[in-house]
Amino acid sequence: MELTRYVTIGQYIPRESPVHRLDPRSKIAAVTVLTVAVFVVRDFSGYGLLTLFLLGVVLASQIPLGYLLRGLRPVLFLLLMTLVLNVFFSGIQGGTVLFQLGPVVATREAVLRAVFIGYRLVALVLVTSLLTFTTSPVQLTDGIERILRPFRRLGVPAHELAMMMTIALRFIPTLLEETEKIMKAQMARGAEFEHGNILRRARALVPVLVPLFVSAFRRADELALAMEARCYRGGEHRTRMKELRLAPRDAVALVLTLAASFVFTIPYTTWQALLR
Amino acid sequence: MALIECRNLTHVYLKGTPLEAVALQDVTLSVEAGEFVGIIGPTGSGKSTLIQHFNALLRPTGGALRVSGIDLANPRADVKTLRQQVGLVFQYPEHQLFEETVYDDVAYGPRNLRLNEDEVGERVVESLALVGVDPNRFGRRSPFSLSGGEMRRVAIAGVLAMRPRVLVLDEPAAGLDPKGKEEILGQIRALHQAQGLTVLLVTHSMDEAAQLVRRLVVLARGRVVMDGPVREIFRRAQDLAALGLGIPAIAELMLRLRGSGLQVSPDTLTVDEARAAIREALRWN
Repeated sequence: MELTRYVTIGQYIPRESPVHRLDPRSKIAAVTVLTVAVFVVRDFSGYGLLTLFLLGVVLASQIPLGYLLRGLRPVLFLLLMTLVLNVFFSGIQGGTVLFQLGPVVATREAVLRAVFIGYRLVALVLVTSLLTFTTSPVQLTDGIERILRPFRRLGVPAHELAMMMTIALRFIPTLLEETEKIMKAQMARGAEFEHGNILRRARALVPVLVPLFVSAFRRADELALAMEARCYRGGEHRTRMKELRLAPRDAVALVLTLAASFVFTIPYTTWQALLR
Repeated sequence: MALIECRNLTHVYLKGTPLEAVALQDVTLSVEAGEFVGIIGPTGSGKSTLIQHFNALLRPTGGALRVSGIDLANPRADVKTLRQQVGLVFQYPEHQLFEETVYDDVAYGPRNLRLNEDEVGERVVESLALVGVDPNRFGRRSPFSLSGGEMRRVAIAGVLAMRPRVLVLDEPAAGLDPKGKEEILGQIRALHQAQGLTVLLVTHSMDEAAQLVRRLVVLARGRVVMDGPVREIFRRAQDLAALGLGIPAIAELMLRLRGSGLQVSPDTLTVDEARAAIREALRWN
């Protein structure tokens, strides 16, 4: 009964690593570049290099690899589904048949594609978890606010969006804790959440959800009052204690990421041609 | 055999992650049936973690724990029977009320035990009466329309309706006004005396501990640092102060009186005892 044990996505792990020290904006940019690269790469050489690069970043970030991989647990089911669907229902006509069972055919091409797509999913989760593991929520929303600032003229409420995100992120652990506490209290009164069919399990959640909503509304009220008591009135003329400043290391990180991403996307055949 | 028996009980939160934290370490403790035990300790000393072990909401990550004969280190222990026997009242229990009426909320536990409606009704009326809430007046009302003190008593009734042999309470009087506090604590004492319940009370208030319990367990940094009769523990004012804890106001007064030369008995925890002790020291008898 420790919810936080199972939800590792979005958890910040404070360390003194070079990755932690990067400006959140450059990390967001790097994640964007890598995400695009993950989708463009099409062959083993590219994925191999990408994996090496990611391992290097993980090493530099001082986040234990095992802990990072644990973040994959929630997407495991999705991953399996993706693999199965792509292997057996790829729609690829022809190709080398590896395995046949009645109408179900697995071709070499389909298996390869399934592996690539599955690996893309894994790489995406790893890249984004690296961002949240190494960037505190406050830094992250600060970064997003700065990135969105130019769009304010177009009516994008950058500060308000960032504040909403900050508050939402801030309350995830609180609400998880609260949920755990309420579940425990109801379990002490004989509630069971792990038995019975879906309908019964859903009904068993009512005694958890009602108090949870009551307390969420109470918290929202209190927070609004506390913010008003400190004269909060949105983003106009607001200064901040910690200004985001790009350092030389941000340029290094960005150039490295861009260069690496470019290298990943060069197909193996081109490598052969180049190296000949 | 003791009702609750921990030997070298250890609990580590988030074991095997970078965020792991040791909450309890080598706790050895036994509680006999019919005892009234207070558990005190500074914030973060592991009190809440410890009491959640007593009805298997948390399992030991090390050491042995037996509660009413059930071995809780065994992952297949009969948790259901245990939760029926050990009633746990969390801090601010009124935050767990959810039903439309007071009656239904108290009936939640007995209904989970699959009792028939007659017996459920009997238990609801009985438990509400035990905490001094009139079932006829309050039964049909929404729990959210009650005052803070009433809500808390209804929530405690919800646990009593399980008919536990052991009642574990985490700061049952926190955040109530003095009258509400007195009522709740008086009812807990009555439950212990009249119903013979074994009670474990977690508290931050030394005065509450002095008034209610006979034995006191002091936790600090996840370990049991003192365990003994209340009077003996409160005689160690300096050790307690070193842990960031105090002694009851009356004991403090006696200590100061002795400091200024009045030879009152140091074994004084309540107002009545203090009066007797001062009269004796002044030879007013």
